[in-house]
Amino acid sequence: MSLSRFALRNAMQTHERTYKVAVPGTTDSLSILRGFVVESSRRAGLSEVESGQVEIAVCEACSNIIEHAYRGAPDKMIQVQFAVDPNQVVITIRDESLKNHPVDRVEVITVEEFLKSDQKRGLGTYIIRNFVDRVEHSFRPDRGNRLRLTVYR
Amino acid sequence: MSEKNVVCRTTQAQIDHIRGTFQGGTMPDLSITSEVRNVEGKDIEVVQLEGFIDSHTFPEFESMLNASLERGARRFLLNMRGLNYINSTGLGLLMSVYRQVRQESGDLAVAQMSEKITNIFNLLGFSRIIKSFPGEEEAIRGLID
Repeated sequence: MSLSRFALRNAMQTHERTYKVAVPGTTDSLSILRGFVVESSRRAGLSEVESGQVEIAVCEACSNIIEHAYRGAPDKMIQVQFAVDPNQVVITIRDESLKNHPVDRVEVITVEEFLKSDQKRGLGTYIIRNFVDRVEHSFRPDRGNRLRLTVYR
Repeated sequence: MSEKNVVCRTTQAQIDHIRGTFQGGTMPDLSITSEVRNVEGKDIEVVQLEGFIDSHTFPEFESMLNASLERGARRFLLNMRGLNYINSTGLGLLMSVYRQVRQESGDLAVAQMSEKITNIFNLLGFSRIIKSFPGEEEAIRGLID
């Protein structure tokens, strides 16, 4: 195989390792998802601190889906996938919601604003946006929301 | 597979298997025990948390803290030795209770947080506001000094 073909083949390769789970969109699934995230993070070689940040970011995103999009409907699913590369870990969260939830674009309260306010809620989106390196959201009515969280290393 | 079916279905048997694999056996969802200790004439509500605080268990955590506040508790020590996760709503409630008791000459401290939760506290700036102690006795001293 020529070097250029070899390089192209490598470039076209998908992620080295992927781990995936799909669970019902209910609050009792959150502990399962966290267990999956912690185990996948360990296999991906993330540190305990990085793993903790990914765990809370993913769990906040899934809680938002359950509380605001599904509103407890037990027949809807959430899928979480870990894709592990040498340079990054990409966590993709997919839902079946018909409603667009652009987590990467909604207004978010800063920690300083939160700490000065009387609010109890509002930190979840901040955590999603700030505890990983990159956040990308897409939505199609026939596919639901797709949230990609990337950790570079 | 159709692009439309992006979220695959998981059977109950698979969910049970996943639950067994990732939930790790006997840990309770959330166990809360509390006792009032009188130290140097001051009542301190010492709360032991075990398990996790997420959307599923948050109502239990909120009910416990609200009941304590209604009983008049104003000094809280939350021992998090057995707590392996707390979500943003739980953290928000902690800050809300902290603000309330501080306005009424009380205080709230935490003890024995895991490294993971300590990091979250640090990143969110909570550690600049809420006192955190490595042990329960130091925390009690911190609450009465």
